Amino acid sequence: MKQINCILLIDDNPSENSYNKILIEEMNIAEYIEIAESGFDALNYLTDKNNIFPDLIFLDLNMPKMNGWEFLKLYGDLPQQNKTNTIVVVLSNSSNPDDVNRALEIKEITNFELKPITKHALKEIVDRYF
Amino acid sequence: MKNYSNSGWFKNISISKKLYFAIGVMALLIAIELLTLLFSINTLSSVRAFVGAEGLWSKGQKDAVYNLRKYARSGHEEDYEAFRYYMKVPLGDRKTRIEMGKSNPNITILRKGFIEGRNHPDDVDGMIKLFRRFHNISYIHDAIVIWAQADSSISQMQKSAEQIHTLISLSGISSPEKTEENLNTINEINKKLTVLEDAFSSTLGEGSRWLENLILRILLIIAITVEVSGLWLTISISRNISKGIKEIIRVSEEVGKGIFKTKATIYSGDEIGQLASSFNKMISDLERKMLEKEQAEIQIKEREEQIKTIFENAPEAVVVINQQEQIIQWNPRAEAIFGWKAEEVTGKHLHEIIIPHRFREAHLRGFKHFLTTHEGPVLNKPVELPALRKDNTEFDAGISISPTVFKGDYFFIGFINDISYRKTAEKKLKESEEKFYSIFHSSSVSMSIVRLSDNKFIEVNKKFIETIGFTKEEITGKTIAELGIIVTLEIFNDFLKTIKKTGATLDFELSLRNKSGAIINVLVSMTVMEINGEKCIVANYYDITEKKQIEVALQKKSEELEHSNKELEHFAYVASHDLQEPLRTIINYVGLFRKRYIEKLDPNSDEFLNFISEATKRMQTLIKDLLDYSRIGVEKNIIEIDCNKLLGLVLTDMSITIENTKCQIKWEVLPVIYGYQELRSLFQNLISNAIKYRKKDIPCLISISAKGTEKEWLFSFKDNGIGIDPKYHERVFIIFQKLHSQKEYEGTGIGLTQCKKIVELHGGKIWLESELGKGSTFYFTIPKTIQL
Repeated sequence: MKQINCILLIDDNPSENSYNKILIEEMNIAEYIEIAESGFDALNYLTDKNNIFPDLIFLDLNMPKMNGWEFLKLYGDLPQQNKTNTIVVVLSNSSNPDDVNRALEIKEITNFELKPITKHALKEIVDRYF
Repeated sequence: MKNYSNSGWFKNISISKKLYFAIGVMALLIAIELLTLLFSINTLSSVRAFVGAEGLWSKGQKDAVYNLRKYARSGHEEDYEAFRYYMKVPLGDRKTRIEMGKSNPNITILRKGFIEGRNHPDDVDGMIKLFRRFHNISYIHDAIVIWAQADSSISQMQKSAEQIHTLISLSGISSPEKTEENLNTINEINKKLTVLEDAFSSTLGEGSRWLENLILRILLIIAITVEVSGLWLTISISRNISKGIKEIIRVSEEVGKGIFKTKATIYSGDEIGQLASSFNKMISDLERKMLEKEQAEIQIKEREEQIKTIFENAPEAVVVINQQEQIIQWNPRAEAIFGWKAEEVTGKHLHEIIIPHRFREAHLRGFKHFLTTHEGPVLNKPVELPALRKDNTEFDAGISISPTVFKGDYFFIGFINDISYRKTAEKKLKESEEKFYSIFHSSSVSMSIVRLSDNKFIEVNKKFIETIGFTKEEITGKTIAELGIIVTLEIFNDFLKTIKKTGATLDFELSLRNKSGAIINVLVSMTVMEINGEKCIVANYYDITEKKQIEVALQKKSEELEHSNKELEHFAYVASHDLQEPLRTIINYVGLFRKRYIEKLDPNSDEFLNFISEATKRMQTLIKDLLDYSRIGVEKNIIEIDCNKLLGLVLTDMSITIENTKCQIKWEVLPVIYGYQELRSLFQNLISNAIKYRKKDIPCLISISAKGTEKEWLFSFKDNGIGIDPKYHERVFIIFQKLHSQKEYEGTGIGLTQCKKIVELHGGKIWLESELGKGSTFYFTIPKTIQL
């Protein structure tokens, strides 16, 4: 049994998603790894009852059409029971303190990580929350 | 006045009483002397009586003894009777003596006893008194004791006499032997008595001599007392009288010499004292009167001086002439104005001295006219007339003449002023006003003159007319408000209030509207001036419309620039942010690629992959540094920074590098300063540069210090590294400028540029001192007060 049932990666850059998926696969910590290339896609995934609701979400903030902030607003409107055990980690290029503080003020966000995510950082998240 | 009262009441009684007193004392003393004399005469007479009594006593006793003897031989009874008769004397005396010894003696018995002793009745009382008064005196006492002994012998003798009598009565002269025996006894007693009698009179004699002596002394003392006190009283009274009189004489002599400060000393309260006191009062009254007179004289003198001073120092010439038109007073100011000395003009006719020739006739006519009609058109008011100086020059004189009557004659007092300077000043003022108007009208700045009292335009210049567009006729006589050229009337009214208070305003900005409705921006300066005797506001309007337009344009440009700067900043931030992502993808996939496929490629591919990832990493660093650089000064918070703590934080951050390179870092105590948080990057950059460019062959040493001047802090970071050739000193601060290849020293060439930007953000300067191979010292300054 893997430690995490499902991880959702939300990033508009396919190479980023792909790299992160390989990293997670190599670490062998999740049963399912799902990918959404926009906030819009991610919401679609999350509202479809046939899909597995993720235990861990990695969210990029800087995305076209629907950015991370907009996604988080709509994510907050989702029914509560689904996301009780879900951890949202923001993955960002920005070390801008304004962004970090803004992110940590949103209650849905559990953590803030700078890109690129490393195996070391992943391990820490798993150890802390799962 | 009371100073004499302490010396005794005697001084203060009147002289007649003093004399009565002196005579009274003398009389009293003489009476005492007389009484004493009387007493002593009485006493001595009594002593004499006693001595006499003793004589009678002895005679009686002797006669008794003689008769007893006779009886003893004759046996005749009459002889015995004679014996008894003579015996009565001592026996009478004895009665008195015995009565005297009683505590309360009977005077009658006393007197009777002494009279029986054949004493003279006139002496008896004196004898009794002597006996009673002086019985305690030794002489009297001794005499009485002797007397008592004699009395006891008398008793024996009487007893023997009685035996003889008895014998003879019984037997007649029968036994001569027996009689002879008794006679012998009597003879014995008689002998004894004789001795006692002698002793008695001798004792009394001594007593009387002693008494005499005593009385003599007492009399002498009294006499001396009388003499001395009489003398003393006389001298003292006469001396007091003469002292008082001398004092009055002395004072009257001084007053005669004019010394009024003197005062007669009052020695007593008697007539002399009263005289002295009245004399003193007279002197002080006299003195007061003299003083009052003197003061009155001084006042008169002072008033005269005052008038003289006023006359002599009057700022105007004072000239007095009499009814004959002759000058009688001419003060120094008149001397100064006209050039004539007082002694030169006194008595001369006025018109000959100060009236110009052409007016003399008219003047004399007017003078005569006044004397006959008492009318003078130029009198009692200020007039301006030409006057003549000694040197025949004329000047404008301000003259005021007042006629006055003194003892029936007319006098004319003239006050004359040289007013030529005033005329000159008036002329100058006029010239200056003309000059002002000439400048006013030709000025290239709009100017106006407004009356302060009603805010109405009096005058405007050409430029003002051009600017405002109204004609001069349209403007003058109207207020600014009526003209309607002020856009914001409230502001203008505030200016007016200010200028009425302060007298001037400078460079107030005001918007005017001209006749055609165009807005003109002006800087108005206003001054209150007196023109033609009226208070006016002179205003100049400096047209700043164009300037204002440029200012607005500049403001707009500046805002645009700020906006574009902000955008640029944002752009740099977003760009560098977005630039990171592809670079990361490259690094990630190069890593993944190497891991999965390196085995399948030829040996060169590893090196190529290294080049790709190194270049990418460098690009990442560059972007990061650029991002940091662009963010310098974005946070505008000045905070208090303890540089010692800041250095500590930086050194902690760099601890691994420092440990690996074995760099030694020394620093002096650094100040607490105000600055931006970017100072941390500044410290970090300078230290990491010093470490990076260290010499490989010697231990790296970095020393940091700071010192304060009045206005700024000067920091220095000194190392013993490779140093920088002076020709590159400027270049090191330029962005992306590197002195070494990437292979020699890694870096982006942004570090020192960042440092420069941080120092300049604080308003400081940064520079270095260095030579190739000799280490470098970087200096920078941080002002103590940072301008935002």
